[in-house]
Amino acid sequence: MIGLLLVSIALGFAPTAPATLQAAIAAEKAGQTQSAVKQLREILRASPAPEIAGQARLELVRIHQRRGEWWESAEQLRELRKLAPQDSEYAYQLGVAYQNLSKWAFERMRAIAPESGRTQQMLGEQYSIGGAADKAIAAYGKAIAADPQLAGSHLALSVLYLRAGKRDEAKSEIDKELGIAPESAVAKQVRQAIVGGTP
Amino acid sequence: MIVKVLAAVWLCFALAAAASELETCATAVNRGEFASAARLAHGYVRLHPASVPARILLARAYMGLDNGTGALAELREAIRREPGNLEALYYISKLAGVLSQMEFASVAETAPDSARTHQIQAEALQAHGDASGAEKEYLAALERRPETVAVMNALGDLMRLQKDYESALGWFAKALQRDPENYDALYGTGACYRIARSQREALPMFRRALKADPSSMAAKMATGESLLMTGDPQHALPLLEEAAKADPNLRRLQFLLGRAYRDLGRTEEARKAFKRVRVLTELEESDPVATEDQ
Repeated sequence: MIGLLLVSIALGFAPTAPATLQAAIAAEKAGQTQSAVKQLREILRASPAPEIAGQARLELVRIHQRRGEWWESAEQLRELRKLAPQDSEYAYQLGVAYQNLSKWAFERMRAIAPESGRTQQMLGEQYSIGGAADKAIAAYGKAIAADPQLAGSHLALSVLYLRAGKRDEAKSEIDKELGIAPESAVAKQVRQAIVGGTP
Repeated sequence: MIVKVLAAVWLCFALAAAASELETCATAVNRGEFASAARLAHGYVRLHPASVPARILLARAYMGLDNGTGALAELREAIRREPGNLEALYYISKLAGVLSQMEFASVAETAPDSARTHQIQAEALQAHGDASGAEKEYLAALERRPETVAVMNALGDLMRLQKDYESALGWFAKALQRDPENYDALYGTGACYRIARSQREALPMFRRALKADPSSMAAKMATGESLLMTGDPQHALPLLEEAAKADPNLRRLQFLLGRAYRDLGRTEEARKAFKRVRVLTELEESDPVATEDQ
């Protein structure tokens, strides 16, 4: 297939988008991934018919997913979502790409600065989402110890305490948050929720 | 001389003005005034395209304006310019997590009884520790799409985590029937064999898993461990070293590395690795979060 394509170029014929697509698929099967990606991107640059564009993007998604390239994978899937908004499979795959991107970023944080305030905050958020309030509180505590001026940790603790019905602790934490970030609209809202009408 | 002094003074003013612009922008974001924050940050980024803090502020403003894709584009550019920027990584992780949930919600909306929707529900239940609920949902997903290898593997992993190794092996075998070189199924089978049978039986499965995904650190560590435990420290060592280079904070990995060095008579390196195990153990014991994670 690649041979045919090269011959057509040598003879001065511009390859058609379907031919380039087939050549890219063949290149990918032959393990020439870089060449496949290049050809697929060339197809897309030429604004082909929607079905060809869709196939090219799908091939790119497969390649990027296999290589753990979540930015690129999400980029292609967003375009596929535009081409077929009702296709729930694309929505699912895009959700997976974002999920992996989120994990990737978190793993990078843990590798670069595992004890930093931001990493511990993120850990606290993960625990909080998973319903592990005690672990979340411990992680936010570590975040505060690592960076006492970093906004967000006291706010998160306040919300956790409020959920647990510990109003006094919640108020104490939100006041500390407002000490760090006096303009924070979210912190002001949470304080309002804790104290009601009382300023 | 005068020109130099003037240039220095001008630079000081310019830097102070830039810092003040960013502060104004940060205040606007904190106040929830996202439209004006976006305008300010956008103008700043146009003048200073290399400014990573400005891009992060612009991304935060876009998030507030419900423009997730725009925010993600700014964060991608920020991380391209500064690959180790923690702030950018933090917001990428948060934003991508939210975007992922939005996509999954849209799947549930457009196809409420589809295999994918049941799979998403199963994953959410599993994440919250509801194993039986997750199993039901995975089975419902498989009923609607019987050939889904990912769901078979998910069921295998679910059983494996509950120490029901025979059921787990059954699911992984089904996955391998459809996709003989599937990484997750191969690794899962190896992990079950290692505990329920022997390291010797696990080794070929881990080797196949590593062949299916040569970049997998988990497969490198597992293959290295099986080689070590079956008396081949020579071949185990490079794999363990590679895995330890990627994650120097894994206590078990450091322990395996120490054993491999010791078995090969490299006592000084073994001593260093075992010392690292002690340091990591002390760190974990003083940290309730890390200890429970282990």
